[in-house]
Amino acid sequence: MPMSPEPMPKTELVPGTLILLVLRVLESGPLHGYAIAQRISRVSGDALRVEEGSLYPALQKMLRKGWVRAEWGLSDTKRRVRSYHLTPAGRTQLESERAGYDHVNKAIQAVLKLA
Amino acid sequence: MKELLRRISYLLNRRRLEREMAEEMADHREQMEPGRQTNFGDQLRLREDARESWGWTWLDRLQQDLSYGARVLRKAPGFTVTAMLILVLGIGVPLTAFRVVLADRPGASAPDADSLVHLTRRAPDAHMTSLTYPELAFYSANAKSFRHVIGLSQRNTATFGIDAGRAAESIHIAFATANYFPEFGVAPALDRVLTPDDERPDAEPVAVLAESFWQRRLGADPAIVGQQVRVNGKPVRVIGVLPRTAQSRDDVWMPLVRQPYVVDGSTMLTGWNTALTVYARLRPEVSPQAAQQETRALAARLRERWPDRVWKDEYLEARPILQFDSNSESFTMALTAGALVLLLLVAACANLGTLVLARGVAREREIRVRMALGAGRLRVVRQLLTEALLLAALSGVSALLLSTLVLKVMHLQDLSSAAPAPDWRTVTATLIVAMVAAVVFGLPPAFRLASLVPRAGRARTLFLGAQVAVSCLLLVVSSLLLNSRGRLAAAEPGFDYRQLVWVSPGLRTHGYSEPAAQAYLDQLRERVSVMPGVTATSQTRLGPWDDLHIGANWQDRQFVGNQVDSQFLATLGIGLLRGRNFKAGEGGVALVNEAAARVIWPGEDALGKTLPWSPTQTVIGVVQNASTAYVGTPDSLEYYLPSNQAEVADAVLLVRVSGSPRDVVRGLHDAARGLDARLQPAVTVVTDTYDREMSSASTALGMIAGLGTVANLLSIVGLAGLAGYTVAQRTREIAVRIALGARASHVVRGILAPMGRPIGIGFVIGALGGAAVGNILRSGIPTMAALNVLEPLPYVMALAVFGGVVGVSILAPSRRATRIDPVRALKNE
Repeated sequence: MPMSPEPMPKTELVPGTLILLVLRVLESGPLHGYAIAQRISRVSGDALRVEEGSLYPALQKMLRKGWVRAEWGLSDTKRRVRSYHLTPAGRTQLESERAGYDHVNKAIQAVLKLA
Repeated sequence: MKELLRRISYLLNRRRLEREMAEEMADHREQMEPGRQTNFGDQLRLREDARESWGWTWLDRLQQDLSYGARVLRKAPGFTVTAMLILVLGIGVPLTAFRVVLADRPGASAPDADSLVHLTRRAPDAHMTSLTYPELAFYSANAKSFRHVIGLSQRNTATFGIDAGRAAESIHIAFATANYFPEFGVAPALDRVLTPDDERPDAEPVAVLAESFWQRRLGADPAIVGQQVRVNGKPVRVIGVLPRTAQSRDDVWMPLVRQPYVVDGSTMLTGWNTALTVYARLRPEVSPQAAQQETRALAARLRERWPDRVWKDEYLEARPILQFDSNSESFTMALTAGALVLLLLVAACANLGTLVLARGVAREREIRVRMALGAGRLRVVRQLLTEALLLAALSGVSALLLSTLVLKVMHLQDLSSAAPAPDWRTVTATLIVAMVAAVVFGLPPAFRLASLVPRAGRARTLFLGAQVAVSCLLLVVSSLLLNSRGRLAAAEPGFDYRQLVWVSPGLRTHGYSEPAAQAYLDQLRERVSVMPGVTATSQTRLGPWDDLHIGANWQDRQFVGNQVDSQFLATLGIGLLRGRNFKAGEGGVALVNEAAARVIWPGEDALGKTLPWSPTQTVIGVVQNASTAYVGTPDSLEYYLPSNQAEVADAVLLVRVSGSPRDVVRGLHDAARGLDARLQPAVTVVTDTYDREMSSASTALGMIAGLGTVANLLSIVGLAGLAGYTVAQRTREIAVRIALGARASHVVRGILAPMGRPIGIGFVIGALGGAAVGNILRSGIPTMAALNVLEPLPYVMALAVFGGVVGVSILAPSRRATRIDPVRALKNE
């Protein structure tokens, strides 16, 4: 595969955070798959890139767990799209994942400061 | 839980979901900047990854493996048929055996069999397996632990006639309490069974017929129901037909309380003189132990009424009928038989294991290709195991069909009551056994094939050794049995049994007092003595090889006894070695046989000594060895006491004749009834007993020989397969060796050498196991007492047969090896 030079260095996601990010993005309203990837990328100032190869398995897992629901609808561009929205279970999951992430983050920060 | 439901809905809607996902991804791709579209990657791959989170991938793989496995089996019909044949025999034979045994054990058809118990009398130093009617009635009325007390008296002799005019024929009759039928789950085959109403004193005497009797003797005529027939000459109305079961070999069943009606003079209902088999249905929440405790107090009360009959501290032991007595000899025997039968399954698994291993050689290429294309080791193992499971499942189903067929035949022949159609438990058990077998024979070869370094491995040695051991074990056991049976047939029991008949008039059943019984016997003897052909008569307590036994245990040796008169030795033809015979009316004396004398008083003279277990009896004579109690027991330890007047109503008359014993049977029967027409005398020809005992030994022999034959056939198939594949695998090497001038014998030796060790070890293990099993059989089957596990001949025979098996199975492959044309073989490579 030819390597194309990237204009900006893009960071791969920290493993395990994809679901947290997707949940958080969906908190503000239903979105379809492409929009989810776009939103994460834009909000992070193009720093984070969601691999499509991991987005769809993650969405399937979230559907299975009942954290999100999918509905077919029309997008702004009048395309048939499947948009995902958060369920109450998803909200709870978001809270717990966020708390877990904060906890780990604080711990990492503490170690970094000390060293 | 919800998640599981969701998963299942994914499974059901997978086609739609897949389509939606494809659409969604296509959209995504289109919306991406044209330059980045290639980043999206392969859509199919992505969809597969996403699908994996549904959790059904294993199902896809299983489906793949199954269809692949089915193709592989179809493409190798020779292997498939051989493997299935092996496995169907290995599963089907034990399956059928277990189904027969389980269906024919008493109470197998009883509803809620856990609360059915068998009651036997126990005291600290006594045990009796039967109860009398007064006991039955007493416990039935007073024991609160029992909801029902069930009494049975089976295998009584009687006569049966359609009407008074026609000749009556001899039958076996059972008497039972009416609750026997519902409690043991016996439903009528025609019309109805006995009910409590039939037990009322004013009810009409009724009987039900056994299906086999009804078919055999009455032509299965349904019109017999409702008709009056004659049992022992008494009018009895037939009310129904009982289905055939293995437990009941009686022709006619009547209520227990009607026994005195058809047995003239019987005092069963009031006297202490019948032997009933008694079961009870426990009340809910009552344990057998609690019931036993209750009978302790009740027995003490009963003892006040029958002080000389009920033992001190007596109680009734309540053993659940489905529970085996783990100390009993029959349990050991059942366990041994079960183990022998299961060995066939072991042999089949080991056999198939070698076969699959050997076949792996031919499939190595295929597996390598698969692995080169990216199949993981585990994936290959899983695929091979799926193949084995498929094979096992097919064989399991075929085994079920086979056993159903066999049971159907047995059912029609009255050999078993097992329902031919398998129930869900049978099916489940069979499939589980098949799966376990598949893992045993399929997993080691699968791992070996999938391993990157192919080598012979230990699996082959183990499989080969196991199958040789099992085949040899069965061979050794059957050869031991054959040997002991041959010896049994050749051995004389120590008395001339060929021209001997005995009459059991059954006086006790008809309420004879002791003096009346003695008077009857004296009269009978007088009449019989003058019959043509009769040369001697003797009055004894037990007949030769009777079902009943009297005995004593001394220093862990079993001594068997009898009560006899002074004519006994002459009638049986047993010689007196030392001392003297009994005199008429003498008491406090005893005769012992030489074997017993040697055991009790080694190196001393027995004369004048007293019996160690009965000091009131002084030995006055030593007689020749004879086995009068059990057929085929060499060196039976026997003692004889003078007749005991208290037991004279149970006595029998032995008759020696000069001609054929069968000619006098009718005359003896008529003589016995001529003195008292109410009696139903039983006349036994001793050679019949001998033949019956020999045939039971033959049945055991036949069964084990059958298993041995099947196991050896399996061995032939397995060894031939193994040798054949070894040759195929090493064609090139053999060709090179032949081209270089190796001799054929060397080549063959090279092929067989690695098989030699496991075969040798297997044979030794099998021979040792066979000796152990032989020992158990010897203690369990009376006619097998002559079996000697130390004798070399049976082992040599087994070795010879097995050598033949090995020879036959590797003959063809080794011939093929020596005929390899080096040029062609090397060109083909």
